[in-house]
Amino acid sequence: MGEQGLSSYFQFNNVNWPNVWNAAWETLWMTVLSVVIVAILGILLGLLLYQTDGSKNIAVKILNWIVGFFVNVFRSIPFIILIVLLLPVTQVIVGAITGAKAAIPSLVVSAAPFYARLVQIAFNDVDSGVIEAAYSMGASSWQVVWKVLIPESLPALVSGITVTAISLIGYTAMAGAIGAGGLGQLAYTDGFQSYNNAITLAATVVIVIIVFAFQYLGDLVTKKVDKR
Amino acid sequence: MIELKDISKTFQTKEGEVKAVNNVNLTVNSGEVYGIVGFSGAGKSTLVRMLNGLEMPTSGEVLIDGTRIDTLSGEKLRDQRKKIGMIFQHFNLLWSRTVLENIMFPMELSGISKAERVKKAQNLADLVGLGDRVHSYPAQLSGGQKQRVGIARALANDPDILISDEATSALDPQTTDEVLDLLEHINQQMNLTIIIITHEMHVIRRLADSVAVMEDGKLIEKGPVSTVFTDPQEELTKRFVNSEVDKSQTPDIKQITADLIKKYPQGKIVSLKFHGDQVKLPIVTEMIREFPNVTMSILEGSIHQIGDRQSAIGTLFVQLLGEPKDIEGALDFLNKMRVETKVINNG
Repeated sequence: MGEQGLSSYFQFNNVNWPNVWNAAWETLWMTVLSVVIVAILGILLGLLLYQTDGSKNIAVKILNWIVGFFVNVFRSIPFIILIVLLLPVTQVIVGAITGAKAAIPSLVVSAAPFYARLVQIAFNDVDSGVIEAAYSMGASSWQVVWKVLIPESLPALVSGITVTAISLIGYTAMAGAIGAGGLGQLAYTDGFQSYNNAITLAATVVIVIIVFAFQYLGDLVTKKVDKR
Repeated sequence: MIELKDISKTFQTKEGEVKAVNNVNLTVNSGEVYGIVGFSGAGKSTLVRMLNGLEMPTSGEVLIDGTRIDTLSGEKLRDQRKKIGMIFQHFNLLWSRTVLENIMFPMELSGISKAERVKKAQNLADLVGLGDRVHSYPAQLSGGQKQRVGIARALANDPDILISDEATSALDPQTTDEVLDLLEHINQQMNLTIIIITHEMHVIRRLADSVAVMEDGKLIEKGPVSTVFTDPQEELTKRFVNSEVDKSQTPDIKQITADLIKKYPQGKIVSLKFHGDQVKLPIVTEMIREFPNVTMSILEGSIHQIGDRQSAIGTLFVQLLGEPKDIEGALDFLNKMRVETKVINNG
């Protein structure tokens, strides 16, 4: 047990650096893997919401309502509760309820609906005149999605996934507190529970660096693809 | 040939049914430039969108070269659309693509090979005068240049028909003229049928062979441009024609007219309209020789060629001073020479 004054933050000789790097690596791949899955699922869900919105067909209307309902429900559940709620589901899908892998299902379930809404907004912002022009040239609905909707909303899709990725990093830390590994768990068990504030600070700094890196990368790509 | 037979289109809105197009009949011959004029909300856009199935009529038939368009769907409709180019008021280019990639877009949809796409797009860019800007993005172009890209894109699949939906309405007068020149050139070179919707009468005068006037979903007047311009029947048509040839309502002319009325309160302000060959005759000189006691001040004059360039309209705004019986005589003389006279201010 170390000293608990302010100076405790700087007792870096108490920090096991290889552990920090391992935890950072776990956080990073948890985040990247869930971002990839969230991006794919979110675009599909967002597309579904966009395409079914405003339809006059009653079946399509019901589909839109159901998808919208689930998106709103999962967006509303606080992440720490969602993780616990999904434990049995995680057990079935992953075969475990602890470890970085076990965090993925709840990370995806919480972030995909959020990103789906951002995708829907991005698609709604695409100039309807351009879409009409594409149809007037004989484009099929899929061609409009691939060649107009996605390219024309790309800056918004990229900045949306950046925001989502950053909140996912926050979620991984929360998941870490109940056994998912990564910097969250490091800060919680090796830092808080072991009265080792230097580890908590180290974990914080590394997480901030990861967040900044994602933000920088996201901004860079957004700028690169935006030709407006 | 395009045939629209008994076309109606009804939209259901919360306020009830809206009849956007009401029993329209229209025939456009191949190679013709057909203008459709009317205020916004008259149903012009809805009507022309039935040619490529972007709108389907509630009742009636749309035929292009004998093929029913309004019953097509799926791939057949998409193939039909590829034969019709369309340009838009706001250009509707993809900002994410360069000029060249925008022009290639319709060819991608048609599955044309990359090498051929690039070659043809470059040729079209040259045709519209943007050969050196092919790698620019739309955001780097002026409005006129964007519309040129729009035109090149509309021509990419070698269409038979080009629809222009208010294509010059967002452009300044000089750019409008440049774009109209380009469209005229294309019509002559490619023998394209062009349908132009506009609310600007000078676009019709410059380019169209025939014109139809729409109001509240109905086609209220149609015919060759020269006929409609010289002898408009309906009130709205007269307004459109006058907006183009009648300059008497500009602020400058109003001011000078007011000054003249103040200075010579007894004078008569008269508009004279000359049609066809009258514009080439010395009618006014003859009138003054006949009535030497009438004094004339010219306020404004203009002359416009119409459509096929065979016909013309001239207008002259004058103030006539003199004895009432001399002025009456002068006006009678003009009427006898079949000049249209209209007394604007009686003095």
